[in-house]
Parts: sequence; C-alpha cells; structure tokens
Amino acid sequence: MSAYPTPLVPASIEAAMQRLTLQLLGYDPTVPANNQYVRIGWQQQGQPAQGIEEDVTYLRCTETDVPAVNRQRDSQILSNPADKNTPPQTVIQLFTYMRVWETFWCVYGPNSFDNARKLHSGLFTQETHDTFATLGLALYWVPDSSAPRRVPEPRDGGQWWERVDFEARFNELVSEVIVIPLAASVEIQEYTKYGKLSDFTVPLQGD
Amino acid sequence: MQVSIALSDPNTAEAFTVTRSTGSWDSGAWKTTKAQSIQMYGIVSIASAKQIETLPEADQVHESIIINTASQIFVTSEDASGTSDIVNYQGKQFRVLQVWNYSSRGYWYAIAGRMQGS
Repeated sequence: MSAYPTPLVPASIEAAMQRLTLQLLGYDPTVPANNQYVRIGWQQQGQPAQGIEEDVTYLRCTETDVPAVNRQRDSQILSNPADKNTPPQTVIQLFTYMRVWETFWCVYGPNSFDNARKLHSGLFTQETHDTFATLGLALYWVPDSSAPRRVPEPRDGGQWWERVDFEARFNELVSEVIVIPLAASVEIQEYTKYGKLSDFTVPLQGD
Repeated sequence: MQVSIALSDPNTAEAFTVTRSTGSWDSGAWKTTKAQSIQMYGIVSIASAKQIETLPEADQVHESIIINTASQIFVTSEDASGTSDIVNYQGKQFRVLQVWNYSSRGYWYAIAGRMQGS
C-alpha cells in the first residue's frame, strides 16, 4: 500500500537523522566527503574513531515508550484501491498510531559544545520539518528537548576529550494495512424434517 | 634464536588467511570498499579456551587465539582507513583485538577473539 509511508526501521531513521544533522551543522549532505563528520553508531563490524582535534558527531536511534502518546491505536475499514473486482473481494483495515523515537547525539571535538547548540536550535527551524517531508517521512520533532550536556571524556594517555551529549524525541505516524477478504456470495440451504426444502446462493451486491 | 626461523618452521607454524578491510562512510554508516584476503604463515596458539556462556536466549561460544607471524597485523586504524583484520583459522573467523609490534625482532604478536556465528 504505497499510499502510506513505510514504517521506519533504525537504518532508515538513522539515515534521515544523519542527513538532518549534517545540514544543521552546516555541512552539505550531497558532498560524500562530509559523511565522515556525522557517523551512525552501532556499526556491525565497528568503525574507526575520530581524533581528539576532529569535530565528529555520532548518532543512534531507538524507540522509546511514552504511554500518553504510543498506546492508542486507531482502526478503520476502507475500500481496497488495489482490488479491481466487481463486486470487490477485499477491503483494507488501516491501523494508525504514534511511535516515539529517541535520537541520541554524541558530539565530539573542540567545537562540540557549539555544535550541540546548533543541533538543538536547528530542531526549531523549518529545515527540520522540510528535511523529513522531502524524504517522505511522517516524522515530527517533539519540541521538548533537554539542554545538551557537556561531559568531557577521559581517554588513554591522560587526555580529556571534549564531548557533549544531546537527545531529542520524534513522533512517527505509523500506518499499517492488512487486506481482509470479503465473502463473494452466501449459499443458503433450507431444511425441514422431510428434507431439503431449498438451496440458493445470494451473490454479494456491488455498488 | 632468530624468531623468524620458528615462524616459518612447518613443525610449529601453519598457514592461515587474513581478511583486511578498508572503507569509508556512506550516509554516516561505515562501508567496506575493499576486502583483501591475505595468505599468512605463523604460529597460532590458544589465548583463551573455547568456553560457553549460557544465556536465556542461547548458548554463546567464546574463544580467542594468539597469532605470531612475520607479517604485519592491523587493528582498526587510527587514520580511519580500515577496521581490524579478521583471521580465518580452522574455518572460523577471529577479529584482531590486540597487536604487539615486535617487528624490530622480526615478528608481530596479536590476540584475536572469535566472532559469533562464524
């Protein structure tokens, strides 16, 4: 059912967030070399790390539970636009609900504090909404993010690496469709104590 | 004793292959762009015995090996060009976790952990 967005999975939302993060930090996402400045965490076989003087941001996304938002599911029975039969043999049941994603940013480098500010402030801009819209995502920022936290990190060799953590939540309108078969006709058999009285079929009426 | 002699002695050393991967970031995800299979020869021994960890989901097998070889072995590079070598030994894959550079004495010493599912 292409009329509804495909539910997001970690890989798809992380790719969208990576693009958004590049834009909010002032990098052109169409330049391949800029990909190294915003990296996605939890790579299956690991990935090289950045240097102490490099401004690199890592991000990762997980679903989170917000009972006031993600408990309700709406259900509708609708005609199936893919069913060309007359009368139609199927309908669709459309479930819609809100799913809450949490994106974690781990911002490293000498400019990490200011980069986190750019990220935070950028979420309030139209660019965030438009980026998701361009990608065809039903994804909306929850405007309630806490302030970024500066948490310099001790590393080997007695060095403190500048680091700022920041997270934000996004609501995704999820649509799930299942196709339900309809009865094409109903056969009615009538019996008395003397035997079968009648046997007829009532076809399903079209529009 | 010249260490390189022991490393090439068929009584103690054996052949194995190393998969060396280089890559770059694509949409923020690390992608391998080149994977080389390199034939090596050296002494492979046990660092930690094969051991199972019993978890609710399934048993997990842990094992690590020591590799002594005259060829250079890499862990994930600091210049962001590649990830740790994977040693293919006796049909299993081991990811290099630690490397000692004894190249001045003619060899490299590494410890590699078995990759789950390999």
